[in-house]
Amino acid sequence: MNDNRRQILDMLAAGQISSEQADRLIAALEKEPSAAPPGASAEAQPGAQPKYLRVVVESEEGHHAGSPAKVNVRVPIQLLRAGVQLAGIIPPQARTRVNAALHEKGIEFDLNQIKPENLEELIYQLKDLTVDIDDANNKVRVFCE
Amino acid sequence: MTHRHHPAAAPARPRFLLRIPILLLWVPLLPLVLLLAPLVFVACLVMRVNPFRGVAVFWQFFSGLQGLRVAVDDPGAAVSIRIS
Repeated sequence: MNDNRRQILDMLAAGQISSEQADRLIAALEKEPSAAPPGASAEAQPGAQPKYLRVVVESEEGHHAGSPAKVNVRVPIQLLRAGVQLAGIIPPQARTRVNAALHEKGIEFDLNQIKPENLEELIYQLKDLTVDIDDANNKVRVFCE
Repeated sequence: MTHRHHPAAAPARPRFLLRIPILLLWVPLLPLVLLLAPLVFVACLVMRVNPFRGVAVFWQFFSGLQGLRVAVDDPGAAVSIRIS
C-alpha cells in the first residue's frame, strides 16, 4: 500500500472524508499509472533513465508461409556508456584513420564528436527515442525501456 | 553457461538457448587477463593511453554486457543468447 492510499484511508477512518470521496480519490490514484508513457513502470520516477535499448525486427521476406522471422535485441544502456568511453580512449592517430575510412565509405561521422561529457545528455534524450519503420514485408522498431 | 536443445517443443524446429552468466565468464578469463596485463600495460604506454583508464573502460564494457539479449526466431530455427 502506498502513502497516498494510506493517507486517504486514514482520512476516512478519522471521518474527515466520506466513503464516496475516498472511493473517488482511490480511483483517481489508480488512474495515475496509466497516464505514464508506455514502457514506463509504475515505480519509475519522472526523470528515470532508460536501462535498455531495444531493437525489434519482424521480416516476412523470403517466407512463403507461416510466421515471420523475428529478431529481438536488448542492449543495456550501460554497454552504450562503455562504448562511448571506449571511443574516448582511442588514440588520436587511430581516430584520424577511422574518420578517413568512414569518409571513404561515404559516412560523414567524426569520432572526435563522441565525448563522454555529452554522454549523459545523450542517454537522457534516448528515453524519448522511438523509431518505427513499417513497410509491406518488414517492421523495425527501435526504442528504449 | 547452458546450452539447451528442445526437440519436444518443436520437432522440426530446433531451439537453442545460450545463457551466459557473466561471473562464470570471468573464471576462464582471469588467468588470461593476468598473463596479458603486462602486455596491455606496455601497449597502453606505447599508444599514449592511460593504462588505468583503459582497464577501467574495459571493466565497464564487460560489466555492461550483463543484461544483453539477442533472440532470433525464424521458422527454421530459434536462437536466443542471454548474458546474465
